[in-house]
Amino acid sequence: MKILIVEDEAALQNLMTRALRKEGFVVENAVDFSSAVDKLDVYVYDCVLLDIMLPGGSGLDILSHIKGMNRKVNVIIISAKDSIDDKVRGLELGADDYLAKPFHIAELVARIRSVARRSQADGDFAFRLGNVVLEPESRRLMVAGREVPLLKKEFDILKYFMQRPEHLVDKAVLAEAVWGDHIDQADNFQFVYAQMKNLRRKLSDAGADIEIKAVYGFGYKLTGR
Amino acid sequence: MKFIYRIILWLSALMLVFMTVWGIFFYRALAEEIVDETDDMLESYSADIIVKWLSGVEIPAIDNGSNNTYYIRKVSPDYAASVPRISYEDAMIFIAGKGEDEAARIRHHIFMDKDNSYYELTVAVPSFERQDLINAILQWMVFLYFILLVACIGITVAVVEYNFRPLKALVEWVKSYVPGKKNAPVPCNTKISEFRTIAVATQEAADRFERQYELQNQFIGNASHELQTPLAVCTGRIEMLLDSDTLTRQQAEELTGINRTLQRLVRLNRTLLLMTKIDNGQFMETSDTDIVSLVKDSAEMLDEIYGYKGMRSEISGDPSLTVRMNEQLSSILVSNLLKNAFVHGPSDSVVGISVRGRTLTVTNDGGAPLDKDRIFKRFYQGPDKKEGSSGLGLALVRSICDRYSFSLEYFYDGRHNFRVVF
Repeated sequence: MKILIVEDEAALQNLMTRALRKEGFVVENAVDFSSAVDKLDVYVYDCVLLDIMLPGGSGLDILSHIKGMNRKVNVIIISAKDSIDDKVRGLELGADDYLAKPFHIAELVARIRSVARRSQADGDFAFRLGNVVLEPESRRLMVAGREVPLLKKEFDILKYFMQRPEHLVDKAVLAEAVWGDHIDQADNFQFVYAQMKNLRRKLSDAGADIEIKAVYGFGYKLTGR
Repeated sequence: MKFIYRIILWLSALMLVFMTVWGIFFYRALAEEIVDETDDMLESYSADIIVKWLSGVEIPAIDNGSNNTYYIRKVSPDYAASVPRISYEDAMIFIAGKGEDEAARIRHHIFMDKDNSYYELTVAVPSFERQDLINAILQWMVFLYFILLVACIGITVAVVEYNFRPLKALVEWVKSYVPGKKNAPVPCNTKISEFRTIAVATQEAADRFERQYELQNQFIGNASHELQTPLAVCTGRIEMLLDSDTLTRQQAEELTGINRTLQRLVRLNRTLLLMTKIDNGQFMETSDTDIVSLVKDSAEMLDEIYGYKGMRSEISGDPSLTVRMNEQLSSILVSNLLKNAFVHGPSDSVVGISVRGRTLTVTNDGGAPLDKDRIFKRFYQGPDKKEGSSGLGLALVRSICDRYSFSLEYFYDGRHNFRVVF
């Protein structure tokens, strides 16, 4: 999969490039408006990561340019602005997703995969790992073809891990992702352990060939059994 | 005290002093003039009597109907030498014509006849009673004082009110001034140079203040904004390191520690950015939001998170409270109020949440009342500072309440009470 990163901040661009290459993507870079347009005109990309504020123009104009080319390119807007207006405008112009800085690299990778999956398997948004299938739309979990009932939080946790297989996830980051802003001062993650215990038991009882392992006592990792 | 009252007070006081001094002088001048006239009359009267006496002509009868009295007595040469030849005095004398004592002016005149014997002529004429004159003058002065005072105050008030209209307009403007909001220009509809100067200076100060306010807002916004990218880079690098296979347990723990601190920074920055946006009047779109259902969602989540402390919430009151506001802001408002109560409440305590009418009250246990002037300020931490607390939660609540003109108050009645009236 070929990705173009349009980002003028050298440090962030460098980091994203390294991280995405490590995930097995082919990555190219553009640092300003004109070079981005040049590259888009000449080469074909599966996915474009687009910063909105660029030297020489707005990322939103690049987005219009891409959509004008009538090519099937997924666009994820990456912006420091984190404003609803930008998000709405971007999505109206045809962007596939919107990610506000600062973001987790794992989140970025998950979004790229999710966007790609959506455009390839028309309408099938399910996450698949081994014999486990997670359907975010209907909020159903299927293990080896049988449905396993999950509580709301259990489902959210599993979804978060299914988007980041083989990545170490800090339980504080997990807690914030699932419980939202409510946890930002919590000094105890008892509530994570309780949900995690039930989720792991449900997965192993259903005979799933993935498991969520505790790592060093401060984090978890989703791995194949 | 209003300016006009102060003027009235000063006018009354100064006029009282002025009128008193004037009254004393007026009395003195009047009395002197009367005495002078009386003395002149006495002098010519006594001269007439002496001339008649010396020339042997018949002198007028004592009781001649004029109320004037006189008598002549022979005195020794020693007495004549010991008193002044002519002297005046005021005294009460019996006026035969009236049959009563009257205040009178008396003139004594020593003279000598052709036999070299001394006589003293005493002439008296009824005069004014000084106390009566003082009373009369005092009475009229008091009357004049009030007449003058009323006139003076009336004129002054009219003149001041009329001429100070520009100042009044300026004061009204200052009262209505709200920093950071759209304010009308300073009223400057006057030809009086002093008022023009004040108006121009006020306008300049307001403009300068507006610019600074704007700059400060922009600065916080820009600074937070510019921090986003470096924060993203740091977060990303740490996460990449965490994924590396050669990591030891200790290194992984250190990195996670750094990452958690970094995430605190990210949240802090995000909250500052959010506050700037609220203060700048973004979040325009509004919808009908049910506060009670937001409260229930938040409380359920927080019960779960703070269950390890033995804390729980109790919701009481009305089954719904619909408020028209931005959806995102309403959930931030509710979750921050509730979270604050959970974070600062002691273990095994109950967070009370009640919704009655348009009022949401959140209570939690706590030892001592907090500083109600500072509790909603940015970065204020109470006496029991919590590790990891940003000090922005309640400031955010304040910003949102200000944005919608909701009233927000804190009071202590053995428990901490936070109350929002929508």
